[in-house]
Amino acid sequence: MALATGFATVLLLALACAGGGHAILRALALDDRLEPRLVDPLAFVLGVGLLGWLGFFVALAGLLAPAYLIALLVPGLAGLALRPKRKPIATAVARHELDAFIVTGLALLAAIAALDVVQAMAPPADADTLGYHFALPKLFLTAGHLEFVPRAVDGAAPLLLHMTYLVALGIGGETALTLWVALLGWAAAWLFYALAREAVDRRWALLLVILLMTTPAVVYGSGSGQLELKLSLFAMTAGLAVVRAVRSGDWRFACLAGLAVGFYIGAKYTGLLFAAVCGLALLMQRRWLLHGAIFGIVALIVGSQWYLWNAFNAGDPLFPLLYDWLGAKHGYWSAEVAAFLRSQWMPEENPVPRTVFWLLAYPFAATLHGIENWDSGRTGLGPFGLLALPFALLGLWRFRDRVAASPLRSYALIVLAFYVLWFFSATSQRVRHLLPVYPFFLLCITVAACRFARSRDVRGPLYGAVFITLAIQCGVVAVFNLNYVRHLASGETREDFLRRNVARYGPVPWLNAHLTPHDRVLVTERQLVYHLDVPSFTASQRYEYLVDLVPDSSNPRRFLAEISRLGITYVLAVPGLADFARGERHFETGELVGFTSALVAAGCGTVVHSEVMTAPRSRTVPSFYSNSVSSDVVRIDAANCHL
Amino acid sequence: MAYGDPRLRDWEAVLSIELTERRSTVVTLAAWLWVIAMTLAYLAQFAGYVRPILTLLG
Repeated sequence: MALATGFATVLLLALACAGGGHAILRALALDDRLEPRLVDPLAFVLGVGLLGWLGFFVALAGLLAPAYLIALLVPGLAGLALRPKRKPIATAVARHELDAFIVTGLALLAAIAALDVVQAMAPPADADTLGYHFALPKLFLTAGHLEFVPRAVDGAAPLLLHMTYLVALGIGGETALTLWVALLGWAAAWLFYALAREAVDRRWALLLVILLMTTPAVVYGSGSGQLELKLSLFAMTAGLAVVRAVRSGDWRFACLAGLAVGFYIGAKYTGLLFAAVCGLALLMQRRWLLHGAIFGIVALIVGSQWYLWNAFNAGDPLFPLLYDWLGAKHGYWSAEVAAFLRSQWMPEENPVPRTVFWLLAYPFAATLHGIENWDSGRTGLGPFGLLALPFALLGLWRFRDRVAASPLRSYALIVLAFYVLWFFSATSQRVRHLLPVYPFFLLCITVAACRFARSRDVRGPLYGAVFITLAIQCGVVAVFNLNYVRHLASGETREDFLRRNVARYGPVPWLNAHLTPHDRVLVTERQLVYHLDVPSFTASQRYEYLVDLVPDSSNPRRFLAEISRLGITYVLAVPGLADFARGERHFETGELVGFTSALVAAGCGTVVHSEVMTAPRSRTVPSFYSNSVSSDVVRIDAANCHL
Repeated sequence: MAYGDPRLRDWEAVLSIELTERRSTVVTLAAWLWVIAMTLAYLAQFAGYVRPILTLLG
């Protein structure tokens, strides 16, 4: 039943997005200026952006009941009438010869898509997804309206795509949500195919799509709430529109670029970097003033909603990034936590210095032997870029006189400029943040490599590189999905699956069973938040300041006052108080457990439940070392407190 | 053979073809070498995964 509802909801959403996008393309009179193969995927992308954008206002107005969310889709469904008339799909397919190569490629993609559906039928288990990608939409739906979450990085962030998650979750429940995020990944494949056909034949375009969809970072993130592959929808649309605007001089493409970039900005802070790249490209051409102005205004209107929301609530549009200049309202942030975050986060997320040497060395290092915090091994970009690199460079050199006229030149420059800006901008160096522009990279490097291989008749090694990459990456797909296939085939319960796959899930069933909607539990393990059915607060030493846990900054009395103000009735202490007293320490929980111990000693709290929490190091390979830690659930009882 | 002998031109052509073919073979070999070496270098970082994955596959 849940699966049928999920599919029905996703179908509804997809049709509404397609319709909304067609309405935008018709309004811009671009539907007949684009190649037919581009119209449908582009319309879908624009519709997704539009749905997320409208979702903000619906959530702001507190109209989050399913009826309102369905009503939000109705105009989009009506927009389907504006879709340009096409030949029926059967005729279109018959027109193209389906040779063995194409059929094999399509079969492979169908198998991967089927595995994605299997994954979507399992409960979500990715930590980031549970910590905020899915947790925030669930929070807003439970509250019935938008809430400002004064947390750095994963609270007060642009949430345009999350608003589409909210609509899926609100209408069709969890399965609809997991199917929806998977569909967004496939939309990227669809758009990439249409885009690649500009430069390569059907076979290579299909190969490129398979290469993209089997990229380890894509396999890891596409079926979860992770945004990067989904952001490639906006990046590809914007890149295409910028190229068309420059080539044709048509202001409407600048407008389209502004829309796509605005959606990107509205979905993630790194969209600001991409906006700078696209803006620069539009300013370095003949019609720079008109195109630049249209692009800038549209991107600002579309992309600013979450920045205004942050500014309104916290006084900082990039909360808490501009704290040193703008401060923060309501004591949401402080100089201490700002300094602590900087001192902890920067070296963790930027393990190598931002120098020219590392700018050049990063892609090689990340491919061949990455630092753990780059997430570039198991969840990296795969070997194809490295294998094809010399072919592509030699192709670039051999056909250097043709490069200036190549339509791919602009895509390559966009990738290059984004990479340089990203590397020097001090955002996280995790390799998956490059995924939004990875399709462009894949296309450019493949075309250049193919041209060289054909001209020097070294097609064998290049085909070998493609084959080896596909063999490795298909192996990754198979191993990654084994966990989900086994879950489905074995009839394993939801709880057993979560205990196996979500780090330190142990106390969640107890908390769900024993707490009421009037309680609120303080946790430090953010991956527990989505599966908690009772109100919670995620405390942190570095990402929030409502409960001050910065080392040596607070005291038990202040801690009690802060948690009382937040209505917290339970604290999940990791490690348990007895182990803490024996000297055991856990990542970033020293202050919290210390204060909680003091509260219990003063009669302000009682340990009501203890459990050992287990954390698998890998969901995919469970035989890897997993660690366990004790935990105590402490009930706060301020009435008998002698602090 | 004296300079200008037409047979000399034939030799030049043969030599040119041979050189081109040899160069092409060298490029092909170098390309294969790169692909194989880099594949091995890429896979080397996952050496520790072989046993757990084999265990996983039963």
